Parts: sequence; structure tokens; C-alpha cells
Amino acid sequence: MRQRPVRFFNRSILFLFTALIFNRAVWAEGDLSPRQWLERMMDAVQQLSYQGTFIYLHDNQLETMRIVHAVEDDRVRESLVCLNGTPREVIRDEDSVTCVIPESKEVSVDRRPPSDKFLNLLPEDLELLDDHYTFQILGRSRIANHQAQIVTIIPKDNLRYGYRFFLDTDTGLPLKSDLMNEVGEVVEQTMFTDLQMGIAEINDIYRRKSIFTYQLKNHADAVDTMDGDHVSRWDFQRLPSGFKMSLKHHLPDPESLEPIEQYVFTDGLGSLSVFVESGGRGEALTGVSRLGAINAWGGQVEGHQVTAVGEVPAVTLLGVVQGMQLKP
Amino acid sequence: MAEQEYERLSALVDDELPQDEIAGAINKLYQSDGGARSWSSYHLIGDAMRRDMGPHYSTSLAAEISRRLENEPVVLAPAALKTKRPNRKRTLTGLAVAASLAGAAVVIAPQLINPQGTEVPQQLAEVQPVPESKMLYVAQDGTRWELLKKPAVESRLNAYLVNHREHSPASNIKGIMPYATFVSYDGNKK
Repeated sequence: MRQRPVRFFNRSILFLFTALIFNRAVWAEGDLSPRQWLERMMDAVQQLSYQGTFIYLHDNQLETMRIVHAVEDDRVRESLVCLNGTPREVIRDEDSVTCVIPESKEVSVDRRPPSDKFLNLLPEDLELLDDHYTFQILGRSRIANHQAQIVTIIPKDNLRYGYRFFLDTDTGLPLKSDLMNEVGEVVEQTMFTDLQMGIAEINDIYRRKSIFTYQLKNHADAVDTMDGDHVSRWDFQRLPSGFKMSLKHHLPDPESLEPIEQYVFTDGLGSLSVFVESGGRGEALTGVSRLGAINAWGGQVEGHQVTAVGEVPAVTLLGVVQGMQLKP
Repeated sequence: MAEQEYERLSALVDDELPQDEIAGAINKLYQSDGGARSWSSYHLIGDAMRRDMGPHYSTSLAAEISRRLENEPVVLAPAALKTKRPNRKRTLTGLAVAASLAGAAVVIAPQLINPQGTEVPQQLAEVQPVPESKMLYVAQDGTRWELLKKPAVESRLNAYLVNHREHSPASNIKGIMPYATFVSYDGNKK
């Protein structure tokens, strides 16, 4: 009679401990929420040094690319070069974006406006995405011999694309990323086949310039915001749900006196730009076009050439353009 | 074939036939005249509905390959041939198959096919051999952008795209990776 309560006590202690240990194990394995994983990814992409080769699939085209991301004393330099066919390359640092395009024999250097240097997506912004996207964790996988956590961002309507990231469990780097269109079909995929962390060897762009005789095309240094002489002449009404204007400015055009107006719209993740040209500038895009997951539309709106381009469904692009109106 | 037989064939393609009826259905397929053709068609329709299609081949593909293989010279002493021209037989067969594939290949854009439709999609019904087999393989005029054929217009669009990238939140998430669209090389285009 006396032993029973003791045994019962022992058993409950044991149960409690087991539960505790089990719980701790579960916490250690999956303690990050999808949003925390995404924050980790953004930090990793920007702050780590790495280099590797990834494959890129779009429109039934399969390509290999080499990426290098070097962080030295808080200075970031990145390079992306296509390993198939003509070796096009993009080199980016905090001040400029340089595109090396051999077939057009030009190197174009875009100075980045200073305000955009630290244009980073903040965790607060991720919270704003909740209205239009659902975040989920979808188990684990293995990519390029690294353990990966699968995190998805699923849109709640057909006005935006969805994302599926396979993140390195050690660093948070995206080992594989899939972009899904408005009907859930994968339209673009990138996947590392080889990734080295802590190493980043970037060739010097100046050395490259001496190898090829590119003509250097310098884009104008400054963009001016629309509070100066040039005032925005356009109203955008009935924007697609969730999209807001995040930027408007003038891009000086070396070929014309009239600057080009640029308006950027975003829902926090997906985004598009509307470029408005006034005056004749040679032939521009007419109608719709597509490159991978990028949609584009060009045409005349109230006598102005308008080009809209962005990683959003065509319906979203057209929705923005349709609401354009010249201010009275 | 009677309508009932077509139904059974369709069920066979979809793996919906009871286990004990499968053998009988396959036998019937061999014996009937139009059976094999329908079998190919049903598979093609199934693939189209699942949007499983790459470049597509006409339903006469199997017949074309068999016809060409029949016309191949029969090698009576393979061992003797091997010592002289080890790869000749394989090369010839390969060429014949390649030729018939090329002759019959037809690309069908999957998005043109309505997956909900109950009718045979129009594009399938009109599958025709492409007379110029080169069409699928040689470089095409135009640019990497869909429906855009003018390099001058492409150059402007590319400039706009690069500019847009700099203001896109996705660029902050994935770093320089989104530029992959820009640096990508399209082997199909000149």
C-alpha cells in the first residue's frame, strides 16, 4: 500500500523530465519562425562572403552563373557572370552597378543614388507583408550538399508572385529559390551546385577593361527627386490591392533634354517601375513582353510613351498603367 | 472500335482499370486497328492536360520510326562488322531516329491548352509535321524578350530593367542574384 504513491510520484517526475527534454529538443530544431528564417536569409545574403556556381532556369532555358559576394571592411562588392555563351557580367558595389555587355561593346555604369545605399528591407516591412502573403515552413531538404530549411511565401491573391526558398541551415543563405507565378507554376529557379563560404575572389573591373575595348557609357550621376523644378505630372488611381508608390524621381537622359520620370510601386516584396518619356526618343516597346518572371508593357498614355516593367503578373502591371492620369 | 472500347482504353491510360481487366484490354489494343493510334492520342491528351509537355511529337511517330528501322540493312554477321566499322550500325539508326523525330516534332505552347476543357484541345487536333525540321533548332531572329524583335527597343528595356532592379525589394532579399535575368544568355537567339 505504501509503495504505490511513491511509484506514482516517480513516474510523474520521469514523465515531466521526458516532456521537458523532448520540448527542448523540438525548440532547438525548429525554434525559428518563417519570418525569422527570412530575416536570417537577408542578413546572410548581404553580410557574408561567399562564392559559388548556380544554375538558373527560366523559359525552358538552363544556364550556369558564377556569383561572388565579397565583404571587406563593411564594403560590399558583388559580381555575377554568365558561364554560357557571351560572358555578360554585372558588378555591383555601394556606389555603382556596372553591366558588361560584350555584344553591344559597352560597359554601362549606373551610379547608385546615395539614398539607396542602405535601402534594405527591414523586419518591420516583413510584418507588412502579412496582408498579402502567407509564410510557411515546409520541412527540410539537401541542396549542394548543404542541409536546407524550406520556407515559402505564398501570395493571397493573383496580383503577386510566390517564393520558395531552400535556406542553408547553418548560414541562412538561399541555396535554391523558386519563383511561382499567379497560378502557382514555377517560372524561375536558381539553385547552387557549389557554394563556398568565407571565400570571395572578385576580379578587378579595371583589369577587365584593358582586355576588352569597351566603350564606357556613363550614366548621369544624379537623379533628381520631384520636389525641384520637375514636378510629378501624373496621378495613379485604383492601384492594384496592396501596391503603393515607393519612389518617384527623374532620370536625366543623355539623349534628350527632357528627363525620364520613374515611378516605383511595391507591395513590400513584388515591385514594378513605370517610366514616362516625353518627346520623341526613337522606337520604344509597344504591347506586352516577358523575360523569365519579368513582365513588361509599353504604349502611349495621353500622348506620352510609357514603359512598365517588373517582377509581377502582367495583370498587376496593366492595372497600374490603366489608373494613370495626367494631372489637370 | 466501339465507344465502350474507347472508354476502356481511356481508363487503361489513366490507370483506372481493375487489375484483372488490364491484360484483356492490352490484348485488345494489339488486335484492333485504331487501338494503338488512340492509345498514343490519349497519352498525348493526358500530358497536355497535366501540362507535362515539352516539344511534342505527332502520333505517327512510332509508325515512322518502325518504318525506318525496317528499311535499315539487316546485319547478318554483327561480329564481322564490328571489327571493320564498329559504330556504323548505331550511327545509322541514330540518324534515322533523329530524322523522324525532327520531321514530326511540333511545339505546342502549353498555355494555349485549357486544362479544364473536356474537348480535345484544338492545337492537338491540328498536330501537323513541321516541314522545315530546322525550325526548332536554329537561331531565331529577335531578342531575349518574348515578342520583341528589335534590338534597339531591347536595349532600352534592359536599361529600364537594370534601373528598376535597384529599387526592387527583391534585390535586397536575394542580393545580386536577380540580375541573372539580365546576364542570362539565350542560345536560341542570334
